[in-house]
Amino acid sequence: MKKKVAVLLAMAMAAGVLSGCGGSGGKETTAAATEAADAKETTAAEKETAKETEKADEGEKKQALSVSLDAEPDSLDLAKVSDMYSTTVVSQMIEGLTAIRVDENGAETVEPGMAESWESSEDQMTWTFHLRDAKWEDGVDVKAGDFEYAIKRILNPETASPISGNILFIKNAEEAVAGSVGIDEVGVKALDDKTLEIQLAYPAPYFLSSCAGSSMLPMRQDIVEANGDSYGTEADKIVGNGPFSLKEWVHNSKISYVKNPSYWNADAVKLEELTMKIINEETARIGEFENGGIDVVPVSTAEWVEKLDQNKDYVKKVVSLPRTEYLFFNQEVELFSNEKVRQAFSIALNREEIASEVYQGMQEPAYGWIPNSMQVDGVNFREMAGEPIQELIEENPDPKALLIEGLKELGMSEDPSQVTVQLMSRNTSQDIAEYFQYTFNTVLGVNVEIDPVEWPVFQERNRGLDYEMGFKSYGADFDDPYSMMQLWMTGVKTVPTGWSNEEYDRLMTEASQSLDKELRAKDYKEAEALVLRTATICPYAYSTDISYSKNYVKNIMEPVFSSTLYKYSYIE
Amino acid sequence: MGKYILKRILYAVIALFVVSTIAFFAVRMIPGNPIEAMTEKLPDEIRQQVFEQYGFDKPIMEQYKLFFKELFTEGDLGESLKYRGRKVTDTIASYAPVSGLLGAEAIAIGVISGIILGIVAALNRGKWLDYLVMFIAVVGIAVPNFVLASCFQYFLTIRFHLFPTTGWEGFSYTVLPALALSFNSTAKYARYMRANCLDVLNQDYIITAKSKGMSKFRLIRKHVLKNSILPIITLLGPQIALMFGGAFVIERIFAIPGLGSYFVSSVTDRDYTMVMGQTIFIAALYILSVLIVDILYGFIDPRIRISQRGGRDGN
Repeated sequence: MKKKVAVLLAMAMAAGVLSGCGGSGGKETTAAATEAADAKETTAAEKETAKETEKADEGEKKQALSVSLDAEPDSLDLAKVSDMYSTTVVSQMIEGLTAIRVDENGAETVEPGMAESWESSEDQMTWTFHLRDAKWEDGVDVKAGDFEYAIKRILNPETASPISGNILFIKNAEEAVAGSVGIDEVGVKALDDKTLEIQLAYPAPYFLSSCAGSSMLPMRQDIVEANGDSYGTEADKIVGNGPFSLKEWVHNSKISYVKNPSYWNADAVKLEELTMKIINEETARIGEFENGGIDVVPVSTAEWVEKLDQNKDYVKKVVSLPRTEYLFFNQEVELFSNEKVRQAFSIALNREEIASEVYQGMQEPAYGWIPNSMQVDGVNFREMAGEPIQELIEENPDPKALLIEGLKELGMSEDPSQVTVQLMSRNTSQDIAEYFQYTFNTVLGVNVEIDPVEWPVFQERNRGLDYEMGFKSYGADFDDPYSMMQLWMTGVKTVPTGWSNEEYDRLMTEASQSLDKELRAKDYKEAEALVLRTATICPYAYSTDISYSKNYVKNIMEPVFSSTLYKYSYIE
Repeated sequence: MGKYILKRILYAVIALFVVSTIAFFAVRMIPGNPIEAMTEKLPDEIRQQVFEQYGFDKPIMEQYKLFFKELFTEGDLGESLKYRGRKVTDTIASYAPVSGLLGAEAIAIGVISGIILGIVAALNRGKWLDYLVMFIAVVGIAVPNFVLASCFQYFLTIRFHLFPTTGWEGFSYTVLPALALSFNSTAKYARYMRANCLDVLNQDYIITAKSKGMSKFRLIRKHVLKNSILPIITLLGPQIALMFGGAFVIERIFAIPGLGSYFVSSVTDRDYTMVMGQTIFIAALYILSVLIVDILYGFIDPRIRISQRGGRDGN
């Protein structure tokens, strides 16, 4: 007993001695401690009020939605960044000329946004938009000039905008970015405050949905100029005209919005509050979801899907993304300059196995380059074009024999075990890299060395053709095969493979500049078959997006080509 | 003493300069550059324009001179290359206090509980309490703090809703991360404290004091604690700086908007300016805390003070 008392006393004393020591150098510590105490008090107080409001609203559910954002947005100045987090945040607060509406079945329609109506010339090269009477949050009218300014700012070479590539369908856009024509030559003009004219370089069937996208949102010249480089870096350094007003942005922590009462269609907006919590770790996100901190959570691992599937209060949603995962070869490497060798690698992959085993059903097997979710002039592309890789596999049941034939053509040793291939892999995708290593070894008999690198290094080596074989994914920016297929045209350096084909370039140019739907479909189909049958690339999976929401969350819209929208969401 | 402090400060400045120079070249030697870390869809012309905007087309020595010129004349560390438009200095100023608060809480928990446990163990040497404390110490050193953090998060927030899962909105949000972060130092301090206490307890003057009938309470307070706490202070200095950079995993797990999360991501993003800013900040903090500890030491331990005086006289 005595001893126990002594122990307790020692504890008390230790604390005493410490506080004594801290006196000389501890000013900061004390300040921090007081701050902590203050923080405690305020949050306690806040919680009280929160509880009270909750109680008051018990009769009717509070219209507040919390969702997660997987990473901190780079900046809300969309002319300068291209990450999906930034565009998601901005899409809730700024509305473009048109808006996308997604119905319960996932079908998308273009509806009026800031433009009340529009018409186009016969050749669909000139579009005139008539703006409605709408206001920015600060009470200033939304003008046609805001759109002209924003588009020209993105295309101005001085801005060096990473998203300029999304709006090259505008007349002289490509030339302006390259600096060969002045920015005033670009085909966008405010005829008056309420009328905007946009001229196109070629008839883009996806133009009206692009008008709703993040690359064509209006910007306020006065706000951009007043803030200079810091435009869009804080909540108070940007204004919106959309359904929600950005109230607070605590970097790396959370983004909160309130309903914007001055939004032209405010009656249709039911949510009073929208919060995005920035959580990098999936486990933490799901914890927050199960704990009630967020109402919706994206999931990317099969284990979590299995677990969350068991809860009947959660609503699962699977959305096919316009994104394809593929292997690509450096054709300047002797081995991969041979078509048969490349074909053998493509045929060797068991795409069903990749989808079910490696991705555990989280991705769909791919036998084409254009994903399931994409269309060409209103027709589902895959249904129209068939499955080119499937055909290739059926024609060549023995990939190893094909490989040996190819090796013979190259004059190399005909023993596949003498062949060693470097597989450049992102350091975050070890599972699939090991699958490739195993499969190419067992099916083809070649040795694969995995070379894991970080993303910037991956990019640098890809560009410099300093690799043998690599794999990654690519997503379309707009609903037209061109978005995916322009990648393999001569001179495009996004994912260099050393492949160049005149016929492919011809088909692509013809298709992109034609208005003839049948010709376009035929050209794109032929071009895709060309790139897949020569195994310039070998796609193996289409990406999907899986998310869970609490059953009281209704009507979250996930357009395939733009950010998730909470405009019409509500709590039931 | 004054001259000694001045000399130490001079050394600190030189060290800082050397560290930032190394960092400047090291980060540029990693393959891949910030523009490659951006979107893959950047057309070549834009790529070139961005390059020029950031001055990467200039020779590296010129970039180096420019960096230090701006740092010394304007105290400006430049703009983040990833988070466009945000000043590195602003970023550090807004995130450092978060990491600092978390770190301070963790250090306080670690030191207080470590000292108490250490004394308890020493006084109960060879008994079950001693074994218990040493067991905790071994676990604390062996188990990485992120494992502990994940366990805390799972059991105390998801299983039993005792604390918020993620975020940083008040005191309750700080408890679990601070505990997880402090566990290792608790263990370390407990072991040190126990060893020091045992050392002191075997000294002749303790035996004398005991034999004179001094109460245990007074004995601990007057002699044991004062003499055995000294080495703990040496450990404390470096720990303060490490708390800023060392907590990054914990910060990620609990989604805390601190500096730690930038520490790693800025390197993978090749955000040169952010890496430089962080390096200089952490290095300065480290050097400063070591300096303060050294000076504090002089005040607390008369032997050090005397030897310094001796040294000065010798010069």
